[in-house]
Amino acid sequence: MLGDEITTDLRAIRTAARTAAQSSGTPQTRTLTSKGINYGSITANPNGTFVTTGVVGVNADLRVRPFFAQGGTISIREFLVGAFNAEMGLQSDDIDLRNAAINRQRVTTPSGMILDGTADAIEAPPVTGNNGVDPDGDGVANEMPVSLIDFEEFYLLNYFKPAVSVSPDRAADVNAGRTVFTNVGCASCHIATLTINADRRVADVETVFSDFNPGSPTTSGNPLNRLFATATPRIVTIDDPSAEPVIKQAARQSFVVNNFFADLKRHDLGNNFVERNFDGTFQRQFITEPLWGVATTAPYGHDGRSQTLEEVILRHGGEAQAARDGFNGQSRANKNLVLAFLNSLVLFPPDDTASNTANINPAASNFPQNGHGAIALTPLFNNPADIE
Amino acid sequence: MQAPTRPKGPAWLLLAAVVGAGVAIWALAPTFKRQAGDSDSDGDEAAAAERRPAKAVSASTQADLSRLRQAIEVLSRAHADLGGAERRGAMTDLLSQGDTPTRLTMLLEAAAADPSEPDRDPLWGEMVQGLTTIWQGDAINSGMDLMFTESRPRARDAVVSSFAKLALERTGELSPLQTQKLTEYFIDLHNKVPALQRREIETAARKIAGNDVADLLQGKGMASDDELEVHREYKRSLQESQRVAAQ
Repeated sequence: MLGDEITTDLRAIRTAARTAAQSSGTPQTRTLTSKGINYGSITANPNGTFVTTGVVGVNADLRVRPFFAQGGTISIREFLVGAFNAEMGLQSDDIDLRNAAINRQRVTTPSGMILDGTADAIEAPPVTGNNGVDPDGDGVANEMPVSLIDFEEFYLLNYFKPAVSVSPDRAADVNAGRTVFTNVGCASCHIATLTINADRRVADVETVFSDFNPGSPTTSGNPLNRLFATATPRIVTIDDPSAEPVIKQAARQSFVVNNFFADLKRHDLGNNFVERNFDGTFQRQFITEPLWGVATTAPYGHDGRSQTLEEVILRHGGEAQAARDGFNGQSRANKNLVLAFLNSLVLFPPDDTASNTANINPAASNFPQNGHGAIALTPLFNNPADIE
Repeated sequence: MQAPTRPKGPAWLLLAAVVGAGVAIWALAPTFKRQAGDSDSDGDEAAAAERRPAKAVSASTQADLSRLRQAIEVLSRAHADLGGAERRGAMTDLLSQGDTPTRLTMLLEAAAADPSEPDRDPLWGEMVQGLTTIWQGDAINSGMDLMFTESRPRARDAVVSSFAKLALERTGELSPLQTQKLTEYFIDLHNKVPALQRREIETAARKIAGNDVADLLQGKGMASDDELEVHREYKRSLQESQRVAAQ
């Protein structure tokens, strides 16, 4: 969503530059900025062409591609269909991707993602429009119903955010570490907070440290991970005058994405990050890795060649050289503060994490194997009279 | 049929983020039950934006609204005497508005329209105090997000100042989670706001996050000869470990 909105902003700037160039009869240069992130500049000529040599961090088409380390794919849907084929051998003839990629149409997926084949190069599905065709020759055609792609896209769009686990005894270190992290320049690319203008999700799950307290099970984290999640619907119900149930849709409110730590932009991180491609060329630019969940995603780097957080920080170079040197120049105590902060950004198992939709139940037999709580989203949207 | 549901928390707060700010057209959608047939198309979003301010202030009478609009108009003009009776009267009108959503919306609109420098404006403190009184209960959580969603710089600065004031004067009202979130927001915003708000954030951070965070925000503790409390604790632990090892 952030990538889409940034793309829309950048392209609006490009359009405004072209309009100004055509009306003034002289080339017009505009700075490309969205959500406080600078993507260089673009110059529009009066004849409608553009000079894009000043564009940085995205392709000349100004489309942010958040997926893959090199920033190569636009949407969850393309990522999914590609992964099902490449990783599992399941080939989908996804009608939305087909219409956008092959028929060059503007398509809105059931999750609200706009795949605009008139403006973007969308990745085509591995099977295109011939039911019964079996390109991988495994004897199975129509391997992936479109409904499964729809559900998977919806699931990943609404997936739980990583947690911030700050216990009271570590708060001082974690917050000081966050400040050192900012002061040395890490936050210039690993931006903590960005705002979505129109959130397409139907729920938000915020997860934080909450010590195990059997005396207050409705707000207590369980002993397994001492985390507690609050799941909040972000839907609007639309009254249907017929006898049918009301329609529930994403409310599309603005949303502050806190503790994200990325800028959705590609950077050259120096020789220590360069990757040799299969064709012998070298990949020098990589999209900033969001740091949420980073404490539990070792090993590090796009290639997993750094074993610890400190190793991957020290591996930074290129555009990140100054920030890397800033960190390296700190005292051991300050480095430890930064690491304490990064170690507060954790992933968690939703089915083992207590929440406001499924509290812990310390009275359950064999607790905590039973009754440890979970993040269950179904209760948010169902009522006994309206089973969905 | 089922009764319309609303998201948790005061959705009216989101109005303040969108009126005049030009963002998040759908931000208020949950506050109104839409009818079947309403479209999600871009064109209808614009129409919805047009409708929104009128809906938001529906709790106020037209006379009230007219008076508040006049107050904003007064504050939006350049004045030789920033503490003069006309401006003071206008601010009093805004602050005395009883309907909280309307008061918030109008205060932010006035803050955005006012051309005076906050540190030269004798009414700035009243404006900030007026905002601070709005942050109660769940409104604290949603209001904090305004520090990021409010795109009009002077209005955003007023919100930041109001939360710095809240942190200083009503620390005990903040839950541990609210304290943590506010600390994170202060750290993340510190180098993005004007000097006045930076100083306020530093003072507030000292109160809710301790001396180290405040000192670091002021640029201290980054050099080897510049000691934070955590450095002293680190040295003490090291010496203690060495003492135990030597025994």
